[in-house]
This record gives sequence, C-alpha cells and structure tokens, in this order.
Amino acid sequence: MSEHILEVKQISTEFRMKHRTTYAVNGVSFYLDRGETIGIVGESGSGKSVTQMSALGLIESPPGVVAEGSVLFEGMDLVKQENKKMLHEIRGKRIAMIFQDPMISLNPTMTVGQQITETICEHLKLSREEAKKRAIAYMKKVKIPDAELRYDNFPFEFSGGMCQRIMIAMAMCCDPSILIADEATTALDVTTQAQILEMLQDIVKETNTSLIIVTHNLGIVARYADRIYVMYGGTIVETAETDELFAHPSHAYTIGLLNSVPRLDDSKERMLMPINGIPPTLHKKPERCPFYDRCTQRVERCEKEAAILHEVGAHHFSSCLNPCLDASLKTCDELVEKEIDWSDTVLKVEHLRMDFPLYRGSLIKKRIGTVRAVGGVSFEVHRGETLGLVGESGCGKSTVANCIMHLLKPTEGRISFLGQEVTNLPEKEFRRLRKDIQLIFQDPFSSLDPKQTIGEIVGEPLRVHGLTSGEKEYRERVTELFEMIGLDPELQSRAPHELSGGQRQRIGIARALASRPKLIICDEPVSALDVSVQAQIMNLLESLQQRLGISYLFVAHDLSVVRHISDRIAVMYLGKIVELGDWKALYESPLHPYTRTLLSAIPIPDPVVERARERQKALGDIPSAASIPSGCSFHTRCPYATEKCRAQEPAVTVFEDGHQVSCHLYAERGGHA
Amino acid sequence: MIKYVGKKVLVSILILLLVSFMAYWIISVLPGDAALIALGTEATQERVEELRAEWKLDEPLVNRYGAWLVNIVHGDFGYSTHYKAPCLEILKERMPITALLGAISLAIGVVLGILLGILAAVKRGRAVDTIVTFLANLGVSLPVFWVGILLIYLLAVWLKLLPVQGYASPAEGIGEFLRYACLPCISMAWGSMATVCRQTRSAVLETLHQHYVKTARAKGLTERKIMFRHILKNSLIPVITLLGFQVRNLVGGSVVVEQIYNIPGMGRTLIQAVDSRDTNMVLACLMLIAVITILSSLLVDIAYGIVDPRIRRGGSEA
Repeated sequence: MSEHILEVKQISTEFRMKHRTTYAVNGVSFYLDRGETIGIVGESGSGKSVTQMSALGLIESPPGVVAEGSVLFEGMDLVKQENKKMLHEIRGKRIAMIFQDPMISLNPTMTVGQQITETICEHLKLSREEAKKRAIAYMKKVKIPDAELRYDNFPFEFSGGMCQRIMIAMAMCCDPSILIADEATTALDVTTQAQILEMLQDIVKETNTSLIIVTHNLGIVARYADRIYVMYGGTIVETAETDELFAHPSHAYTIGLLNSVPRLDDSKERMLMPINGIPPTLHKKPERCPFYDRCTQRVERCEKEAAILHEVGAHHFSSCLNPCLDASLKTCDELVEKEIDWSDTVLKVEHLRMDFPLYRGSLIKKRIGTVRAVGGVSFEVHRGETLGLVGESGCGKSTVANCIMHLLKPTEGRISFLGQEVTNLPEKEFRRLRKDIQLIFQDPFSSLDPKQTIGEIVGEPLRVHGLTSGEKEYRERVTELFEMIGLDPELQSRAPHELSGGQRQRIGIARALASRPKLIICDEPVSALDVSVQAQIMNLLESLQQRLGISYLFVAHDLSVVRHISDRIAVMYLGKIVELGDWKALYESPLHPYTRTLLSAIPIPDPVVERARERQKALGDIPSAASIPSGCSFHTRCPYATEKCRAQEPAVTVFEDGHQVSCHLYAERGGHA
Repeated sequence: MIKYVGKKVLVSILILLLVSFMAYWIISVLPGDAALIALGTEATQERVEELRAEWKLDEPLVNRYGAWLVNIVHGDFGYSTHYKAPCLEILKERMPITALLGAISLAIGVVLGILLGILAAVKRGRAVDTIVTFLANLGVSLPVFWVGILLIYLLAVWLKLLPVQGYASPAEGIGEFLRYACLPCISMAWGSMATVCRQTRSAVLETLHQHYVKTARAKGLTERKIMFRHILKNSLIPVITLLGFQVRNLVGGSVVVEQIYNIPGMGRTLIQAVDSRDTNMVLACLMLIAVITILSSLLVDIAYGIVDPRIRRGGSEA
C-alpha cells in the first residue's frame, strides 16, 4: 500500500474553560489515501468536526488546545509547533475545507469573485487577470450559470445551493490534494444536496483529490464514501470499508444508529429503535466505552475495561467489547392495524390559495409583485389518519399549516374542520375550535416559554379552555399527560432549559395533547433533533395516535421520516400538490417526475441498495415563488418537459386506487377529477 | 445607489423643515423678546410696542415663520441685535473655528478609537485589553466639562506646558494654533474615542466568530490579511452608525468646551445669543447645528451603502 496522504495519530483536543474542561476529541486516529473518499459519521457533539479542525489548526485557541497526537500530511507533522507557520501555506492550497452553512460562510461584503480570486492570489502568485480567469473557470466547473457576470455578485444574491458551489469553487481553485466537506450539504434542500454531492464526487474523481465527508447522515456516506469512520463521544468507535460496515456493523452504537434511522426503502413493519438517553457531556476523560450508559448490548467487560479499537475483520476495526452483537434490523412483533375511519373527514381543504404581496419602498409602498405561496391546494384528513405533507423549503407546506391554524387568512379557498366551514370564521368563534386543533413546532428550543415551568406549559391549554373543574382534576390531568409522553411527572417544576432537545419536544407534544384535540398539525417535529432522538419522538407520535385516535397532518421535508409515519402522502412543489397517494404506491411507484427526483435525491444507508438504485437527477435550482414558471411549474427542472408542459397547466389525474397526480404524462391514463 | 441617496436627501429636507419650525416656535413662546431686552426694563410700553412693530414681532407666528424661512432660503439670516451686525457675517467668522476644532477632534476620536478597539479585541483577555477597556469605560462616563477642567489643571496650571485658554488661528502660525487647540481637542475627542473604541472592540469580537472568518482561515490567509480584508470592513458597519452620533456630540461638546477654553467659536456665540435674547442669532446657530447633524447622518447612511452591498443593491434577487 502506498503511503497515506494524511495520517492522524492519537489526536486529542480539549476546550479548557474557566470552570471545566471539555474533552471533545480523545485519541482519534484515521488515515486518508490519495484519491480516496472517507466518511466520518457521528451525531452532534461526537467530535467529528473538531477532529478535522484540530488537524488543520483551526481550533479557536483559547479555549481549544490540541493536547496530544500528530497529524502527518505528506510526512510533515502539522500539530508540531515549528510547523504551525507553514499551516497557512497548506490550508487552502493543499488541504481545503467547506463548511455547513454556505450563506454565512462567505464574507457578505465581498463579491464572490473577489473571494475566489483572493485564494488564488494568495497561493498561486498569479497576476490579477490570470487569477480572475482561473476563478471564472472554476465557477464554470461548479456549474454556476453566466459565471462571467456572476463574478461580480455578492453572496446574498445567490441561493444557498449556489453559495455552496461558490465555496467549492473557492476550495478547489488551487487544486488541493485533500478536500474536507464538513456537513457541507446539511443546510440544503434534498434535491440541491444531491446535485452538490454528485458534482463534488465528479470533481474529486476527475482531479484525484482525496475527500473527507463529515456528516451525521448515514445515507450520504453509504452512497459516496469508500471507507467510513463512526464517531461517538469524541472517539472513533468503528471503522471499515463502506460495504463491510453496513453489511457487518460491529459496534453497538453503529447498530443502534442503523436501527434508529428511518430508511426510504423500509417496510412498514420495521420498528424504529431509538437509542435512549443522551450523549455524554465529555467533562471527564472517558475511562470506558463512551456509549456504555446508553448501550443495550453491554457486557460485563464494558464496565471495567477501556474500549480500544481492535480488528474484527479485514480492514474492519471496532472498539465494542461485546463479542456476539445482535446486528439485525428490528421489526414489530405484530403489525398493529391502525383504525382509520375513512368516512369521517376531520379536515377538508379545498382550493386553498395564499398570496403574499411584495412591496417596495418605505414611506410610500408600491406593490411590485405577488409571491404565490400556496396556489390551489385540496386534500382531506380522516379520523385516525396521518397525512404527510412533503416538499422542499419554500414549497408552501408551512403556509398551508398556518392557514389551517387560522394564523393566516387565505386569499381563496375553503377550509372545513369537523364538517364546519371555518375559513371566514371570526377569531372569537374560531377560538372555541382551537382546542380541537393543535400544533407541534419544529424547534423545541424556541417554542417553549422559558419563564414557565414545564408543568405550567403542559397545563396552560387546560386553563385557557377551562377543561378541568378544580385544582385536583387539573393536577391529575397534567400528571396523566406527563405519563403519556414518557416523562416523569416529578419533573413538572423544571424549566424548559433544564431539558434535552428530545425531552422538550415531548413537552411540546404533551401541550398539544392537553386539550384532547381531534387533529394535530406537526410542523417538522423531528427535523431539529439528532437521529437517535428522532426515533423516540416518531415512535411516541405513532403510539399516541393508536391509543387516542388523533389525526395528524405531518408537515416535513424528510421523505424517509414521512414514509414511516404517514398513511397517505401529498407532495408539494411551488405551492401545488403535484402528487397525492397512499404511502406504498407513492414510494414504490411514484408517478410525478418531481416525486421521483425527490426520492432519488435521498440516499439510503445501505451501499448495496444504493448502487442498484435507478436515480433521476433534477436540473437547476428551485425557482423563486415570486416568479413561478408558466404551465407546469416543474417544467424548468423536468427531464420530460415538452412544449405542452411549458404552456398548459396539467389537470389532476385520479387513478382507481385514489392516487392523484398533476402531470401531462398521465393525462390520458386516468380519469379527470 | 442614486435613488437611495435621493430618497435620503428628501427625507433630510423634510426633517430640517420640521426642526426649523420647532425651533422658531419654541423661541417665540419664551418670555422676554428682543424688543424688551434691547430697550431695557425702564422702557415705556409704547416704545416697546413701536419697536415690536418695527421688527415685525407683533405679526402672527406662522407669518413671521414664513417670512423668516424665505429669508433663510435666500441666505439672509437676519440682523443680530447683540452683535449689531448681520448674523451671517458673525457666523462666517466663528463657524470655521468650531468646524476646524471639531474635525480635528473627530479625526482623533475615530482613528484612535478604532485602532484601540481593534487592539483590545485582538489581545482580548490580556493586559492591553484590560487597560484599554478600563480607559474607554472611564471616557464614556466622564463628562466633557470635567475632562476639560482637569486637563487645564494638569497641563496648563500645574505643568505649565500649554496655555490655559484662548485661541490662535492657524494664520498666526501652525505651532501657535496647535498649542492652543491641543487641550480643547483632546477634551472633545476623549468621549468619542472611548465610545468608538468600545463599539469597535465588541464588533470585531463578534465578527471574529463569524463563519466566514473560519472560511478565510481555511483558505490559508495570514491573520493580518484576515483582519484587514475580512474582519475590519464587516465590523465597521456598526461603528459607522456611531459616527453620526459622534458629530452630534461634538457639536454639543463645542458649546461647553468653547466656554471653558474661551474660544470665539459657534458654541460661545450661541450661548451669548441666548443670554441676550438675540433671536435671529440663536435661530441661525440652531439651523446651522441642525444642518450639520442631519448632514452627518445623511453621510452615515451613504457610507452604509458603500460598505454594505446588501443596502446598496437593495435586497436579494433570490
């Protein structure tokens, strides 16, 4: 084997604060060969980013200190004091890095061209003219349309995906030997994410650059990485080649992670197995396996012995001490048939339309356009059913939710709740209905009043709607709610900030449940949570539905999550439902080209399945909601678009099984609605 | 950009009109008018009425205001009853003194303030930072008149390095001018230096943690280049806001400082005019101060546009 281009040996990083030290990375070793792509996977706080930053000397110091270890890049130790001065010649030129949020990772007051040229001038000593030429060449390489013109644009004039392309152009413009992508696509929409990753893969293959993908997403590493390192609690717990790792996961944490992540190709019987507990705080140097406290498969040795990586197969190392791990995916013992009363419509939305005017000017406002957030959406939610509403950011899914909640007044259309039309009901009268229709929010941190105790938060709807008579009944109900969501009622007097993210989201659910609603609108309820915690919340929502017969309108962008929980799914694109169908039909035989694109964009955490998949790529960026394309709004990105799609808006085609699609491709085959 | 500036200019003119009316109105309701002061307390009622009619003080407020405004637009600020000369002439003589001292103070305050602020931010937590921050806090809390008197005592009375008070114009020799201008400028600059320094320090500290600074580091730029190309411009945006305030503070400060150091500038003129109920002179001074203040905030707005492309290009395309 040739010599590694980068070899990190036993690196440890500490953050020494006044009151305590956080041991963020503890003895991490990994290597990277020329032209290789490795994935470093872990949840937030696992130390995956800190490891990369330590290697490049980018840790903020104070308080960060690389306490020990070495980072050998082409034979030179980057951590050594005497080599520190060399670092700025290596960073950007030999090792480049791109970060999570492209919109804030670019300097807002410099044009993107200046920012790329700056790197080139710094390292390659080219003249201004040549540097500009090279910058434009790289902007073209990352597929920025009209690169020459866009050279003089500022970052805020680009979309998030375009900004990330600029970041990549900036990183690649000096032909580095290593590129580190630190959660580079996490902040982007799925179709954009897929485009960026594909492009990144093409570029690194073409230039024989080594790539390190740092991410929490198992699907991404399954699709793109050659080798994978799994990190937990500041250490590497397992490493293997991608196929080997997914075929024979050999650490209890890796198995736990695989068991807790919903997959696009799941059968409905698969049970998500959450990892209980919370990640370690790392305020002490760990003496045993960091996963010990949350592990369900620990053995006697785990308590006393330090967990050290040992070989478990060819190029496969794990620090797990349990010799006979159960690695199978869990399925439910028996499939609980949900009771859905299809004749009882809880919510009916007809031709809902919501326009937001665009104004310019401060004193005298002039209307310069309209943002069509929602453009004629119809669907029904039945008793006990979960309807998934999916789409990328800006597709109008949250606006629909807000209209239903009477938080926005729709421009057109009818909303009926429990058979009663509520569209134009005055707020005073609608308030009586509010107890039947509740909302769970995305961000569990900002959606709870920090000044109330969690007991008061959960009990507030009871008092507001006068649902309990007397203090005793109130207490009992709050206790009951706490038990329902799996939190100790003793915790009632705690403040929200004392809870973990998952616990807060449980409080949000308890608050929604308090008034015994008929319908709960879940607006991205798990997207702010770590994967292991996501599963807990989804399981809770499912079991509550089975017990209480509530209907959910589940708004989310993550199709794997929606698949798990929904009975029927509506796919939205630019304010319209393009396809609506039974979950099985929609995932197994998607009709609309957009649905297919969306599904292809999501990587499945299984390299064998990934390779066998047929994938459809989307073209270009999502258009702005202020200038929606004519005809079928997807035609600008659709590989099948014809003249007709550009001119004429497709009608809804309904098939016998109730599957609906708005696409000219199917116009002849089904009946018209 | 032109549209942006045009709009700001229009708003500024509106504000100026409003200010002029308020000033005129407030002065007209003050007890004791120019006629009374000019004639003294022993004057007969008839004589006062006569003079009032002569100076058109008996007409309705709006009429007087209108006439005054028209005159001002034509460059006529009226006759000063105290100085016995047209207001404009007096101002022409005294305004430059204040402007010169003010400009010097502003330059000292801003340049030193920004430099010290950056220094403190870069060396955060070290001794330099502690000293600079302490001095800046002191500067913000000490009033101008106190600093002025302290400086006189220290440097003029005790060490006898500089003259106690008075003024020499640059025409009489730069050295002489500096000897006299030194103390007033320092007393005026002190406060704005402290404010600018504190603001710069916190803005730089905030910018240091921005993600694009991490990007700049990952690009392999040296710390120097990161500071000057990436951090400075972005941290100056909030500091620019302060500059407008600083100009206003200096105008206010000049009134006090000129009184302490006995400098024949506009600040002193204003006080004397108020003392002698010299309505025209007071109004002329007030209008001039208003113009300076509004102009400075207009310049700040324009500077914003230059520094921050988001304002210049007016919102995002996406």
